[in-house]
Amino acid sequence: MRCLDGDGGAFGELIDRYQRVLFNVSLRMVGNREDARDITQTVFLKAYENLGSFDRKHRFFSWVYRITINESLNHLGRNRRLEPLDESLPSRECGPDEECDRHQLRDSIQAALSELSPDYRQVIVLRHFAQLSYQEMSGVLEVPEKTVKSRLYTARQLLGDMFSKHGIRQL
Amino acid sequence: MNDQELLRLMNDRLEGVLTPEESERLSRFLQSSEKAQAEYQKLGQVFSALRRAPLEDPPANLKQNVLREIRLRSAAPPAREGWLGTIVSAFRVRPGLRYAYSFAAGAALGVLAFAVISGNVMNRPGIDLSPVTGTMMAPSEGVTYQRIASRDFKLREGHISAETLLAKDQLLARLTLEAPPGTDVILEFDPAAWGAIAVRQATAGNEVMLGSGRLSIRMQRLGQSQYLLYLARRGPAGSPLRIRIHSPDETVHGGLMTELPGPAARR
Repeated sequence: MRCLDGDGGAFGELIDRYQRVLFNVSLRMVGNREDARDITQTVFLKAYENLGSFDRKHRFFSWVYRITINESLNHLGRNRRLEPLDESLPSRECGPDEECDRHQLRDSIQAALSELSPDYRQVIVLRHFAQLSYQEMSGVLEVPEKTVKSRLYTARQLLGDMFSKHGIRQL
Repeated sequence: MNDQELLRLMNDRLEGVLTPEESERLSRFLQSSEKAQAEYQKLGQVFSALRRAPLEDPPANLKQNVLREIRLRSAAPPAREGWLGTIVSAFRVRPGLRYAYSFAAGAALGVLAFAVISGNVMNRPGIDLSPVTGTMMAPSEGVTYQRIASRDFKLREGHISAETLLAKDQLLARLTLEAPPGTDVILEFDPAAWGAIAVRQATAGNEVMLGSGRLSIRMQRLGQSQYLLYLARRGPAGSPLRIRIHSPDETVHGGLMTELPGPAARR
């Protein structure tokens, strides 16, 4: 909260602390590294510009996660009429087997996530990629904890069906 | 055990938060139902795959981009009403300041006139993201550009035009934007073929970001804005520039050539 007290350098520390997880949240939401980078940058800029209006009673991370989710949803809304970009997650030439497995797993998971509706996708992303608790997710998404759990259970079932369809069983 | 409870128990066990009693209860139920066993196995595979999914590293320049943009915005002049109001109120409070302001304004005009005559107001080489105001943006002085391509995009509300101009080893993309606030204009270039060396803008106030292979502008003000993106050749010309425009109610995109077709391209 040194940022709120006017310490400009502290914002750089906040970026260091949150950029990886926020980038991954937006990447899993939109499925494209370039767009995820833009979204993450926009999130930090919005956070910086609105630090003054930030309510200290609330947790900073809930606030930035909410901005990230909202920016990602806005992006998805704007791009709903576009065909999926072919460069979104390119299949790379595989090197060592382990590396190859990681890329395949990442691409398969992203393909399955992209088939989920945004409501289901965001709970999977916040729980499994940002490691938020149900309570924290409830704060970020502004829905009751019960709704978070219910969406999460359904989303996992849907993912299970898609994994079977995409042959992720052996992973 | 109903479906809802079974679902909760299976999820809680895979999350590792089930009590020993509930776990025992779930095990007994799973032994009695092949369908539930299959469902549990499928759910386990989801947890396993998500647990093993690698986190990606963010782009190395992300922090730099954000801090640079913050510095730019901090350095941007305050809104017109603000400084005008300040000067007007200063005149009202201290009429003696009129002479000082008149002298300063005269000196500033003299310096500006000299800069225009000598050509020093034009873009300098190197990265320059400072806001430049003005209504007409000319390319760099002393460099002859040849127009390669131009495109016009008519929006429901507004209009965007783009053109590419080529000098020896420099490509200039000129964007003229008149679009509603909230519109995103993204100009993408092949970073292996071109490196950005400068961006100039006429009329500050929009959100501008320059990244590797991309210039993003989010419209935040009404009226016309213009941007010049200077690119230096890094390698053989790759794919054309791509423009994507996302306004609040429509999305359009297109390409812009970076080379003249045929033998002229090699001159």
